[in-house]
Amino acid sequence: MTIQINLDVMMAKRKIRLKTLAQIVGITEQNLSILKNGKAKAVRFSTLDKICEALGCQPGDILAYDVEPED
Amino acid sequence: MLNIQKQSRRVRLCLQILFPLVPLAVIYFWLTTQTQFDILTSAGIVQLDFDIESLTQSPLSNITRLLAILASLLVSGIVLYALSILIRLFRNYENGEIFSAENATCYHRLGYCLFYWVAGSVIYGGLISVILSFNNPPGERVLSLSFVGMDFLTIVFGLLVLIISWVMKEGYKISDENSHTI
Repeated sequence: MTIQINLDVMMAKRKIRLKTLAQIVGITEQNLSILKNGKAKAVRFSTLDKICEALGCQPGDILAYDVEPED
Repeated sequence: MLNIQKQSRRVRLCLQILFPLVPLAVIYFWLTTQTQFDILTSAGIVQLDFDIESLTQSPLSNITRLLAILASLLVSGIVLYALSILIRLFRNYENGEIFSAENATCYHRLGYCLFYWVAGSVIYGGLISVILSFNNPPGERVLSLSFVGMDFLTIVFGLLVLIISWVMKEGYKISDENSHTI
């Protein structure tokens, strides 16, 4: 996958736990974990909006385009 | 969703009751046909495509009955296979799994079951005609193979079920994508 999810990095920077973020965003821990581990196939704008609001960051801080795809 | 689960449970229970009844009915029919205990024919539950009396000139012997049971059980195997698939399908519906890969496979197998049924019924028709007429004098034994309009319709129906299985596969892909959309 060429799109990398840096949610764990941002969560570590903000020192916020998965459970807390899931509660703020309003999604299940399981779904947030899917997103964090890069297993998600799509992200809703509404979810992205809430994550950015909760972490005080930009979408680009969470999502990054990897030029060289992983094998 | 709750309605699907409720109705699926009912259908599954009916199918599970029917499952052991099919082979039992086959055995009971061939053991009692042409006797006073043949309730299945007199009640109109069983209607054969062929006429037993026209195929055999003498009363059915025990060997004939046994061979007819074996031949009928072979073709009933297709029905039992289809029933087992339906039971699995409705159990999945009962558990709330509507668009799953397993359900798509179930539909695919059901479609093929209809093709097997047509092939099986053609072979069965030939087999049963030989079994029933085997006790006739030489020259009056019959091998009857038939392919009727209903068989053609069954093939068309099988094709429809196969198309539905492809639709279900696409449904599963959409459902999977939806479940991975956060």
